Amino acid sequence: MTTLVILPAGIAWLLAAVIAPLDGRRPLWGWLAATGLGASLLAVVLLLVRVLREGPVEVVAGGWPEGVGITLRADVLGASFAAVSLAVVLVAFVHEVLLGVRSRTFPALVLFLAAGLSGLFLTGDIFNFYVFFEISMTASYILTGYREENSQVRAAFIFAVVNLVGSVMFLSGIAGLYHLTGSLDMEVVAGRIGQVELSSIIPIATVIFVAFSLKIGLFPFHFWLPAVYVGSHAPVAAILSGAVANIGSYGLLRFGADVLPDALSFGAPVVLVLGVVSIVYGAMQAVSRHDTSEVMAYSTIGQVGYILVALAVGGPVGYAAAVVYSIVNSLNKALVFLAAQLRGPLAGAAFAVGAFSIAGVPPAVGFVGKIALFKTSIEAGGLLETTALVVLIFAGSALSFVYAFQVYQRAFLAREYRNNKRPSPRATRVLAISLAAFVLAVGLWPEPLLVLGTESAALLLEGLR
Amino acid sequence: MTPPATLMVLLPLVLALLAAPAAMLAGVYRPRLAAPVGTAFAALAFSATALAWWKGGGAVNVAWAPTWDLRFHVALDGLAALYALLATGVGFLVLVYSSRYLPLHLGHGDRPESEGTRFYGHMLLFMGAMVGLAMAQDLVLLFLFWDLTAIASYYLIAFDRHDAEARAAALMALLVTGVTAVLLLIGALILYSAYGTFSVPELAELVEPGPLLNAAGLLIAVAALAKSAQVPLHFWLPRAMAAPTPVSAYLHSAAMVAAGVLLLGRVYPLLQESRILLDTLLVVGLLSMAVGGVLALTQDVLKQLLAYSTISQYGYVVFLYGLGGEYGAVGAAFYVIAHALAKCALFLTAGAVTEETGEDRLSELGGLRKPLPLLAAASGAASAGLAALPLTIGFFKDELLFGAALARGPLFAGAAVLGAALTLAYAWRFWAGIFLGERRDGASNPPAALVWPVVALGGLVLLGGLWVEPFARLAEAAGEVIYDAPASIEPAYHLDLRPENLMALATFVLGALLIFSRPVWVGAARGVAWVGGKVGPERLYESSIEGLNRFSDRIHRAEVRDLRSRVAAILLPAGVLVGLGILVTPTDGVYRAGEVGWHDVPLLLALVAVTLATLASTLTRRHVTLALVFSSAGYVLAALYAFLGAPDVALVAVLIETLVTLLFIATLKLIPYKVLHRQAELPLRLTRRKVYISVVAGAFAFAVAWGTLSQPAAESSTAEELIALAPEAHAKDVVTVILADFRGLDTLGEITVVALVLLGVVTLLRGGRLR
Amino acid sequence: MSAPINNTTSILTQTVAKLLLLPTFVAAFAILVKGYAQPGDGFSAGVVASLGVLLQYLVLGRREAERLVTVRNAPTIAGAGLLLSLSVAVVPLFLGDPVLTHYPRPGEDVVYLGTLELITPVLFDLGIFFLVFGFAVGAIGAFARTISEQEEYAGPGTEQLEDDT
Repeated sequence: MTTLVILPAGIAWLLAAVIAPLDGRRPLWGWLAATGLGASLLAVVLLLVRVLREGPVEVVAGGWPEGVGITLRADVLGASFAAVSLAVVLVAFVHEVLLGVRSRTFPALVLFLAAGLSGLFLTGDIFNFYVFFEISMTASYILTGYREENSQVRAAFIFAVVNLVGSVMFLSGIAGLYHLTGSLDMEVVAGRIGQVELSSIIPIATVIFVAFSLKIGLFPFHFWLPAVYVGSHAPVAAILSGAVANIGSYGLLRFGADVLPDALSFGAPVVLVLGVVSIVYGAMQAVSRHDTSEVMAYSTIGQVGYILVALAVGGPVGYAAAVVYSIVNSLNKALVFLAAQLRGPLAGAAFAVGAFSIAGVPPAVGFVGKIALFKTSIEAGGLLETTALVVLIFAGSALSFVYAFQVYQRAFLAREYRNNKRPSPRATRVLAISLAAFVLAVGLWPEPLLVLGTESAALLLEGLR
Repeated sequence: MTPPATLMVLLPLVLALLAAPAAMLAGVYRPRLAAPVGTAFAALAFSATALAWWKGGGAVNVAWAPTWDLRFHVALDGLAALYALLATGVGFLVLVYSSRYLPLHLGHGDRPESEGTRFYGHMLLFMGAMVGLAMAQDLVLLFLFWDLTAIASYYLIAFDRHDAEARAAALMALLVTGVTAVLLLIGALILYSAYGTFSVPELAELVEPGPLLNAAGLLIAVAALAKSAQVPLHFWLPRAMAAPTPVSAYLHSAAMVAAGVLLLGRVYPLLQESRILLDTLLVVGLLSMAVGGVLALTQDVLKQLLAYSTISQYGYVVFLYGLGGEYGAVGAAFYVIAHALAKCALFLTAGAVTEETGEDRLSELGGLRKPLPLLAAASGAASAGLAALPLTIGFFKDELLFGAALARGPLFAGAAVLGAALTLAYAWRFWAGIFLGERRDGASNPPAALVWPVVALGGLVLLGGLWVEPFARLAEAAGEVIYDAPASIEPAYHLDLRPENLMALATFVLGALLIFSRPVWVGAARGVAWVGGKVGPERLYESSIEGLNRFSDRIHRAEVRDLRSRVAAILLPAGVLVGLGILVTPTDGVYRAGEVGWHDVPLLLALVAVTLATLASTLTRRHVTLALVFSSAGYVLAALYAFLGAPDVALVAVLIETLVTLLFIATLKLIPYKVLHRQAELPLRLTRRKVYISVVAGAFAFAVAWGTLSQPAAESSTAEELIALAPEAHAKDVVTVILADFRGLDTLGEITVVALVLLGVVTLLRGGRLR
Repeated sequence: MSAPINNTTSILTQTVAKLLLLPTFVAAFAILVKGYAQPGDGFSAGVVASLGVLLQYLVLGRREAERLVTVRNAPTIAGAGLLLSLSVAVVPLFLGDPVLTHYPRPGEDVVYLGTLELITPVLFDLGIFFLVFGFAVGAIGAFARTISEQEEYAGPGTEQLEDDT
């Protein structure tokens, strides 16, 4: 059943078009959209199980030969990212439905976003990737402005302008790749790019790198990120940091490790340095911030640095770490952004699990990511490089302890006594604590997560040979 | 291993881990039920541990995360049995004590009874984590339980969460022990990278002395020493006294602080391969003995005195590890038992006394032997145990210490005597300060639950002094695991002049001297404490946290905030990166221009026109003019498509250009006049910066384009295939068939973007303003 | 509600604008239909048709232009267009073919209706046409409404476009 490849995007897409003209504030449509998202997620999970068992699945749209039509290709890397992103979108959306949707278009926008995300993770065509990328980004711009308060609209504006710059860069990168290889199929591009001189690839690779770094908020391309995460409504911030940011890490892995491996290994020192600077810079910024969302926004800047470091070190351990860390980071950020705005029993516990996870304290899943990174830096090679990386990652994790718990104490521990705010609806707290329980469960039994990482790394390295 | 045996080994762990959720559930149902349910579970876990140990222990070793070679490997060996029995046994007594203490404590702060549920949940989580830590054989599993104890202690120290001091203390404890725990993890990963296993028994067989072992061992040791509050990472422990007293009692005797020396014991087979590591332990142990002992003598607050005493006492254990050998290993294990019983009793005494009198300072207390005779007797036994007087279990702990120190040399023997004398002095000071002297304050009948646990512990201390056999066997079994070889000790009273006895005598004399000469040295000791407070590691911790926050504030002020700079902050580094890329790649013959012929003239003219239009856009300050100039550039490009034989693309380009220009002008109407005016009147300086950024961005775009285009296009392009296949799709016009068929999915995606933009426009503009 | 017609726009212009609307639609339809033979497709057709409506706004002002049925239902038209195209993409899935398979398949016979080929890509294109048209008209309408709420914008000539001078 190759149909499974298009189902995750297809279900959400069709449902989005149906729901768009309806009044999304009505719970009925909200729950219908949630069901659709659930169905999409189910399809992705089935797909993931299948690619793990049988390898990549592909289908060419329109039944044309490969190279003429658009190839849709699901492999373990894409399916993993699709699964975690859709899961985050689903949880954040259900959270908002429980709180009460305030805008007619919200459910449709979230569905469009889900369609774009699952599409881009499951396509094997670079231009098609761009198209789905645009769908998800456009939906995100509008979602950022959701609730239409001044700060949100301003955040949406910044988000849109800065990321449009990134989109233009990415598009020119794709144009360059097409010019150099005459193909838009990722596999073909990866195959042919080896014959092109490195001097022509490097500028293109740099442009693509910048475009994705912008998306995940790597230093120094991060300046839009805090304003946007702080400005947007909590479930939207959870979606942005837990799902949309995955585009960046996936893009870096796919275009860097899979399509342009030579350029990546050539630029590895720069990637490494930027990653390290981002780790320290993001964590340093986060330390003194008071607003929970702002702390978490800067924390994100630091955490993506880890992904870059893993990417730069590469190899089976590095790529696996990048995948594992991206997934862990998605779960963490979704959890803290959702829990941060809640009040009442269980809300503090849910946030605490997120804080422990960010600091890498077991049994929350964050420690799995931390182990993956330390393994990576120990694999990095020379004694000096290894020592430097271990020390830096250690420093980053020490800082993460400081900021995560300073803000936890301020926002929850100190405050729980003064019940000056009405507790949030019980259902939202139960949802947040369920997500927290999931974060704990994956930490207690990390094997499936590790398999996803290892298999993805094997897939990426297969392309090298 | 047969299933019943597996069950037998797992049962203590399962019961200990189930205790917390069980107590929480019971507490949610009825707050009153949390304490009995939790206590019952602790008793069950203790019995299960004892039973399993009596049946010979055993191990469970199954795969946990095979991808990383992580194993769920737990064993109930001697070391595990010792610490698990302490955690559950002492835990049980502390919980009994808490059942009476906590309502009083909560009553002081007018807090609801339901707060207690939280307390029992975290206490029992602590207990479960300790049992797991004691049994874990896999370093990563060990790390998991290790941090679980840190989490539990964090919440327990911050139990009085309304109190800023308690919160700060909890954060400090978490930072010191949590951050150093990462070192344990790094150490484990270093060992794994060299030997391919996380299992401690397997590593013990594999490791060889060398820099790798030194590095890994040191990292693990630092984590353990921080947890055991050893100098210079000891400062969090006195602060942690902000916790309710039962928490302190548990933390000091059987849980948090004990976890550090448990870890040292667990990895001791690795550590003892390296002389440097053992010497490090020796030095740290001695330092902690001295610092803790001296500071304990200067403290006035009961719990502070006990806290510094703990630092000093675990200093002994670390010192014993550093001495090494059979005696060191077994001695360390025995010391932990003796100390746990005595220290727990003393903390519970302090809690009961404070609860009864409302005073927590030695200077405000005294003469309580009359109103509280039972407590005085039990606490006296415990103090005597701590001070290592004969007829208590403590006597044997010092006997082992002296034996091990003697084996190393007279210098170490002297240090041991000195340390023991300090212990005697502060133990006396604690007990005499409370119970002897003039009666200061009234104390009525204390509740039984506050006294009986102390009596039980005091009784155990005495029992150990009379019948040391069971304790010695347990310590021996633990010592064998630590030493990784058969070990035996024969603690007994010998009425002769063997060196150990002489040293004990010297200790008593020296201790008595210290007690009676207090006025002579107390000023100097207080001076040391004062200096330590001013320049010590606690000060360093505080100032580095402060400095970190200040530095963070400063770099935050440097972050860019306006949109223009945000965009510039992307373009500039991107330009630099591309430039860097071009500089470091070989560029021979890459950036070349082809020949320019007559047929290129329209193209060139168009390009010139576009360039002129773009340049003109930098000169105008009116937004509408700007829009028109841009669109004229667009029209020229559209004309180019027409020249190049792509009429359909030209058609679309013209249409889009028209639409976009009109929409752009319409948008301008939405922005308040003032904003536009301000933008138009920007000072020249900013405009110039704008130009610089544009130049960098432009240069970078140019470099990318040229680098790409100067490479010949790939030979078999997809485009040719598409043109060949167009008739197959029943079409003559290839562009249409690409859009609707070959790449129909892209088209579908793009029109979805268009639909989304409409949704966005409608959503955002519905409010009537574009803010 | 009377349409505020300003003095500077002559009756002639208004009449011409009104008269031009229908031919614009016809032209757009032609561009759409002949797409498979000559340059042109749903996208261009949609833009052409919406330019016709834009002309109404410019000449007649917002209130008059909004009387057109197409303007009021623009978002619906766009949504219907998207649904139509999506359906064309999805239906093959139920027939066991890959997504976006068009019928008749390559090599099979096609029924002609003049220059119009009866093939599913035409339906797909029609969806695009509706969407683009709906989008452009909807966006223009939304902007116009917003502007007139701010300053009762009635058409060009009542004030200068370049208000930042």
